[in-house]
Amino acid sequence: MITPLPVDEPHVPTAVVVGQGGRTYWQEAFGRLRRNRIGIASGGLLLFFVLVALAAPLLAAAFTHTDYSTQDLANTFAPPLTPGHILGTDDLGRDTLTRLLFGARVSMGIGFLAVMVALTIGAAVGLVAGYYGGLIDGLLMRFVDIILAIPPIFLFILMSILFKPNTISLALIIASVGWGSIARLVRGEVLSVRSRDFMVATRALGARDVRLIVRHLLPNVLHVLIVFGSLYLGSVILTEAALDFLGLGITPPTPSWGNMLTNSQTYFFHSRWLVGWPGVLIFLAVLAANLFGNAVRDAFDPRLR
Amino acid sequence: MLQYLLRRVIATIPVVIGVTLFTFTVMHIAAGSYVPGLDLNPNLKPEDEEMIKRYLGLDRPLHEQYLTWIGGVIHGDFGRSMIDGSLVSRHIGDRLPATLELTVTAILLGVVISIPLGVTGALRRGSKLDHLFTVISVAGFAIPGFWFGLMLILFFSVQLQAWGLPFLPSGGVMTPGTGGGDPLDRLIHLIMPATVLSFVYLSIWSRFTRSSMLEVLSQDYVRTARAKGMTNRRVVYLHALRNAVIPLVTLVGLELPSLVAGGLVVEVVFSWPGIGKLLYERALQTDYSTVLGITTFAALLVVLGNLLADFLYALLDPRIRYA
Repeated sequence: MITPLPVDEPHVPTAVVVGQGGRTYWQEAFGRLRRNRIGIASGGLLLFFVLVALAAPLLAAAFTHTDYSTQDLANTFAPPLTPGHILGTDDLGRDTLTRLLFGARVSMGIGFLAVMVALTIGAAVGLVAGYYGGLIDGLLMRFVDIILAIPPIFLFILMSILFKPNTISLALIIASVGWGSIARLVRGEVLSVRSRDFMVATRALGARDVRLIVRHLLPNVLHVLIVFGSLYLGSVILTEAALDFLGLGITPPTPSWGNMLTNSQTYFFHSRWLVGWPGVLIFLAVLAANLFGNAVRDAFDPRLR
Repeated sequence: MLQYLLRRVIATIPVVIGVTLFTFTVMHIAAGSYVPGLDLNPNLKPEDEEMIKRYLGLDRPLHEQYLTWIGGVIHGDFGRSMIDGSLVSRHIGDRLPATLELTVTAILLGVVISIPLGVTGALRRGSKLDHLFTVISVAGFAIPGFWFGLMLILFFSVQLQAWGLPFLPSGGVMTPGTGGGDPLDRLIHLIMPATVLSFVYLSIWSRFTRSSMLEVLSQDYVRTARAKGMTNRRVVYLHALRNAVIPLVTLVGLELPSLVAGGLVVEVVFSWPGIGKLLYERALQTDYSTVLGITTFAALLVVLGNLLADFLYALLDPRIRYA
């Protein structure tokens, strides 16, 4: 698992404390991110994958003129550059390029959804545990200990045979493990912010718990969420692809980069290209996500550079 | 010290109970009183079905089932398979050596390769070699292990065979029928899966060694060592390296849980008869009780591993003991 940052001492000023040159923390962070060339390039690549995922049916209609499940049994195992099938076809004569386009939907969709869900749950649990402390904290954090004690891949398999996943539930399954580490990080950050003067002052003004948590604590842990979320995306895409490959995630006929590789081992001897493309795309997507995550970390957490 | 240890052990007990409760509950939400295969047999009379479920203990209330099961777990009995009635603990015993053979090799390979890579990168910071190592590490972290494995098989097994050259076996721990007595044969089978598995470790640990080394090299005592006329080699390998590697020990220790579970995907790709592949096969057969047993076993090992790590740290760092 990714352990992106040790959370010890808070360094983010509340909302609008002025940084150098009259700019806020957020303006400076985005400025740093914009100047990071690798970060921008990988962010662009990630955006490209997202756009492909969104426009997959359009692109298929415009360029490959076929659907991801349309079989062309007279034309199975067509090699790349066959007229009509630029990247070739698989064992049922389905067009590889079309399937790759639609596969982007699975990877990107599940990737972003799982990250959002995990961040939401993790932030909520971490904020509540850190803010209230005591018994609530103890119970929530012991539960996190339990979740994190079970090897994640075993837990995924357990959940997969339990739910027979579709796109949404697979994202939830992956997120159901990921939120634990986020909750721990957020809690640690909250503990250090909780006792600072502005919190005491706000409470003295009569602010209620919910307001304190949402309006005052959340903005102070937001940078933790942003950094962890962007580093977590790559590992979600990788996990999802592995589960698909094992036949425990998204299953055919819906194409995903992971499940396109499942059968490829059988056709090694005559159709190698089937192994190549999906793997390259998974690799590029994860690489882009990780590099972008690093750039975000450098921008939002300058101590760690 | 003793008090600290005792406190840690006691704090672990609720987690152990929680883990077993959690896996047990999830499994029973999944399976209910389902027994794989029963619904496929049209000749089975309802009363026979009742009898089988009674035999498996599925007719009893859930908390009784849990207590019976946990009683077994305490004695090292992780239940029986629902498919063939075999002992799960025996399966684990059969498969654990193969898994350890793979994961221990991969972790050792990771350590042995990543330290020189990290040290070289730190000593020649900004050089072409340093950049190359960075690229390898970033790529290694992003490459899907199962795909990397497939590509290795594609080249070293399929392609070399097609060219009529000596090739590596594409799966298994040994050539079938040899009984596994030949160490060279086992080693040849180990090459590809261990390479794939060690790649991730390598990419994390070499980065870590590099930054840790850079930090140490800028410390005062390194400057002092240089100032008193020590050769660069001695400074780097005698003083700096030792201190740079200490944090790495923690990082490697964090991988203890993956000794059992870390190789699952690689085991599947390379038909490696380990714990991970066993869990995977049984999961596909909806053999719930076996999956439950293996998962619990792995989780308990993780808890035990964390406890051991805590003890080690307390032993190494007196500050922890009195915190």
